[in-house]
Amino acid sequence: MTPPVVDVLPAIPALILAVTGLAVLLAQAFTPRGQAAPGAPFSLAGLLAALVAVYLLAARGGGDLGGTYVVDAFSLYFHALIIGVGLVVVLLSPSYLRATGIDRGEYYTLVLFSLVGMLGLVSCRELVSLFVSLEVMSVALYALAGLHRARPESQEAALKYFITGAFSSGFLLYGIALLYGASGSTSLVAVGAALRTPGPATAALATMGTGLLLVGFGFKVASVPFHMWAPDVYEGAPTTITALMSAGVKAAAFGALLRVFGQALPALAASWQPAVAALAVVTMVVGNLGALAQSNLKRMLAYSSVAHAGYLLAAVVAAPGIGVEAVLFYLVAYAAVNLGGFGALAALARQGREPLSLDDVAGLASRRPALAAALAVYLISLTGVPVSAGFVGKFFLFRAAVNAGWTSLAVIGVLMSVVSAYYYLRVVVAMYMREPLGEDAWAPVPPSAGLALGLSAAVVLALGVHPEPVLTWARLAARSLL
Amino acid sequence: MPSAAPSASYLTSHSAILAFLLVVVGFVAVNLVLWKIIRPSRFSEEKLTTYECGENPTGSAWIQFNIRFYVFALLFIIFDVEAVFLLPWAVVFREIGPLAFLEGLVFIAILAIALAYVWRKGDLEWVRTEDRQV
Amino acid sequence: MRGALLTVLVFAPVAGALLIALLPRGAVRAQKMLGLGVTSVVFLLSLLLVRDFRTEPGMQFEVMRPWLPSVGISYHVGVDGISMWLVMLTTFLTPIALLGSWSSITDRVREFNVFMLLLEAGMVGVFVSLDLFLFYIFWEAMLIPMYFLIGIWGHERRIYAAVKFFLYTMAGSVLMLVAFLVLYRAAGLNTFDIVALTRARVDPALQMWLFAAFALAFAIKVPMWPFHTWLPDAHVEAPTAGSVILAGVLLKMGGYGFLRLAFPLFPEAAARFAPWIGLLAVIGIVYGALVSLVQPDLKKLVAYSSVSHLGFVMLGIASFTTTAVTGAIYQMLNHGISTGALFLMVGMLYDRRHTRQIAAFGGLKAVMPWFAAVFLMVTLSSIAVPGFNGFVGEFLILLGSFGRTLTGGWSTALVCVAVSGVILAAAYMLWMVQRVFYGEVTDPHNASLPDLDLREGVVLVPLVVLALVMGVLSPYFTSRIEPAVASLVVNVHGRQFVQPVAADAGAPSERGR
Repeated sequence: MTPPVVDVLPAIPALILAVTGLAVLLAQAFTPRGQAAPGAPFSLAGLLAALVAVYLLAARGGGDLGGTYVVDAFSLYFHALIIGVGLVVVLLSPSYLRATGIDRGEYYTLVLFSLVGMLGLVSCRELVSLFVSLEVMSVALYALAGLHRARPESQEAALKYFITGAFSSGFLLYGIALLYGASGSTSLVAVGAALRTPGPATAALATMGTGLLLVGFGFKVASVPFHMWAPDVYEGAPTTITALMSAGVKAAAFGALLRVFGQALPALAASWQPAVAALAVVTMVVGNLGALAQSNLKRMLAYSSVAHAGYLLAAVVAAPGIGVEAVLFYLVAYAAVNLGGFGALAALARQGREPLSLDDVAGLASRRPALAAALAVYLISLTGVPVSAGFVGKFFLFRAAVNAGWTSLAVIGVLMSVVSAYYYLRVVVAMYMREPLGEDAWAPVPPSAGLALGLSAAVVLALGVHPEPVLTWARLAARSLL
Repeated sequence: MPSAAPSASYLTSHSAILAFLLVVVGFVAVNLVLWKIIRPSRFSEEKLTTYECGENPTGSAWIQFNIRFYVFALLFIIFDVEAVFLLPWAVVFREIGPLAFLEGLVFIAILAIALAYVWRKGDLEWVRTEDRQV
Repeated sequence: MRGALLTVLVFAPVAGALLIALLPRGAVRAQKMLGLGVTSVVFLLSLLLVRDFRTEPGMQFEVMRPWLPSVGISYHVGVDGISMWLVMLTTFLTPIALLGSWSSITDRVREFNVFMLLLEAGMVGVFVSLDLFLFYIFWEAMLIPMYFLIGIWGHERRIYAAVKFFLYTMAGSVLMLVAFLVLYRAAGLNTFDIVALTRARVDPALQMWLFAAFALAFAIKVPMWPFHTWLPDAHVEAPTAGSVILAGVLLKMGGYGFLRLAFPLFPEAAARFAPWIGLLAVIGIVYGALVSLVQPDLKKLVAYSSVSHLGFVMLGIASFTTTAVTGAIYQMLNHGISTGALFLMVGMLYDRRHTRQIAAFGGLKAVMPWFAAVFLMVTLSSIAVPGFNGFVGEFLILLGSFGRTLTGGWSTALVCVAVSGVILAAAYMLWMVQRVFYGEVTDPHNASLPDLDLREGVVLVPLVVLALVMGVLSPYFTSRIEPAVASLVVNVHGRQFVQPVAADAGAPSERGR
């Protein structure tokens, strides 16, 4: 028997990150107790190397690892996004970890492992390896959420995230099992082919499986009614990890959702589109109304992240089609904005405290003008007001919904954007229109965090003015899915 | 995958399992009976309680276990899983060639790194060095 | 140069804003000078528009570059007789507003100048955009600097007013965004180009919905009764420069939107809705005037008078005859000049006395004779006394709204009620002037108020001169407005509503050019 020829090159970016993670782990193990290994430089080097590998892979035209792990334009797009998210998170981390007293090398290892999981999630064309990737990502994040061992909120976040995560994995796995039952395969392409000519029993199984998958992904992207973990977890987790979750996990989960629904389940579109549309509506409404009631900035951003899952789902309804490219573009815009938003809070952390209330950021514009300006840019982008990536992104999301004949989704979406303007503006009001309260309790912005925040703001503005290159790329990526 | 109705050859191919079952059951039965006959029987309260790895099996279950149990249990499971993975690998090793050897090495190396990490962190010692110093 | 001129007008303020942002925080004088310098240069450059403008319908100074070609979005700018004057109004008022608040803004001067320049870029951008996407970007982006201007440098209830302004305007415009998308799909041309979409004919039933969405956005911006409630708050709380720009330019965008988008894109729906728009406009005229009559606060009085004045503008637009629309555009310019001047002068009074209550003044004529004289002239312009610009605008509107118009059988009744607004305007303005400037000096604080200084004079004289010039030499302006209006009216509704405005009225061109 001849050994199967396996092309490992497609997995190189993920492998680089995994090896870097192991290296950081070992470095930490051999660092004297009480000291931190140089995790951040290691991770930065690994992430940059992975980015180069992604570029080389793209130049080579992608690749296919035994049909289960493919690097097509779609995965390359997400690879670049996820590694970019990783870079920003690592840049934000050192100062935050020092300020909160959780500076440990394992942090970077876990971040890198979760990134490996995300890369797998967007590249797997086979349901079981997809599930394994999901778990690789999630397990690392469960540990990261609880890294603040002294803070009960952090422990609560880890436990809640773990339990709901395990719960959602169950749904996902059951859905995978039912799809396997209906089609006799776990390969997305084979499932898609089998479902094109279903018998009555198969169709019922497949529909149930699709519903369960939707529930599972609904948990991961934090869509209502599967969102209840998000505010607590986002609030309790270390802020840089919250940034990673809101930017990276959401992107990876949407990537997997689009790939599974676009490649395996287009034949069932008539049955899942209304369900996704309903999810989108309740998610937009509940997320935005929930955010209105929050006084804690991290919780507010958590609810806003729920709301944005709703906007994205509104365009998923239009998938496969222009909905996919709209979602891909918006994920970049949204990642930049969320990294910036949570990153700004993290950058100000000092002695275990970080700004969490409107009073904490009152008058920030006079004390940290550059940071306040960047935060204002992120908030404006979240609201969806030009000139920002958020506006262009929402424009394309709602265009997709309208073009697919779901004008009502777009109407609800824009009206909810107005609601969101109210709570985003409260932060801007506090920063720019109120006087600072008391002593300046926050840290000066550290250079590496400043670089990360500046990058995010630049991306937000640049995509607001000149979105064409990323749009073109997103379009290519969306096409490769079909 | 759907299988055909059980045929004669199907049954013969599984006869080894039947033999295996018989041997197992016979082995346990013979031993139990044999030792019942030849061992001395001196009961004490201690001996009559259920064996529970050194913990007290009676009373409230809401007691604090030493956290080290969990660490060891975790480590055990990791290496247990290693064995589970390596067994099928070894079975088909000949057919999949040198690449498989490399993959096996990578797998073991990763677990070795984990072991090294655990060792350096002092989690392999029942009483940690810094605890001793205190 | 001709091609790049509009682009320069839009982006020169942005470049200026970036430059000012780079200046050190302490260099207050340099920031102010740079702000004033850039806006003045932009104004001088915009004079080239008037010089090179050809008296003909159709877009001029056009530039079209693909921007997002896959979606049919392009950077398409151009002006016609309608938008050219609004661009001029913007570039004219911005340096005046900056100079007018030269000494009243002392806190965060750098940010103030940055926001004013960004605001100017946004306003010019709205008037020159010929692509829906581009238009919407400028339309919404403009909210942000205005929001900061009100919220940071405003008066006591500034935060409430700023948030209300932002939410109100955004709520109006987001539905318009969805309407853009639906129109894009319905037209099936794969373009957001306004000129191209104007030629598309949309199903009349769908038009009703789309027109309603557009009309909501524009009616809030105008603001038409009953969507005006954000305006008094925003005006009263905004700093002087903000009020001037808000009243002078931002309020014109609603009317401009009706003329450039809502009416030409959805003619059938426009015909259905026009009488109702006319009705709301007339209610606004009377309501704004009556509320102005009882205002104890000078700034609120001017704010409510805007509701009334813009009612005239909307009546002219709803009537949609060449005369009425020309008058409406003319009246937009007049209102920008006279109300801008009124807000500036109320601001000057506030700088001196830190109150805006009419009751706190009295007898100022004796204390500040020059101020009183200029104020009276501005008042006369505002109440449309012949010889001043306001007269021309209101006269053309009332004339054009009479008889055979888009408001159909209601036109005569609407005009009859609207005329009462002219009288009421005279009543509330003159009564206010009387209470502020005539009589005895009752409050000792007022006895020693300084008269206009040189800077204030430099700010006000151009406005007053322009008010007189536009009152006397109106054909110079109307002749450049009218061809575009005639072409618009013909394109939308055929020749039935074309009336010659003046002797020099250009012949309306054929539909579709």
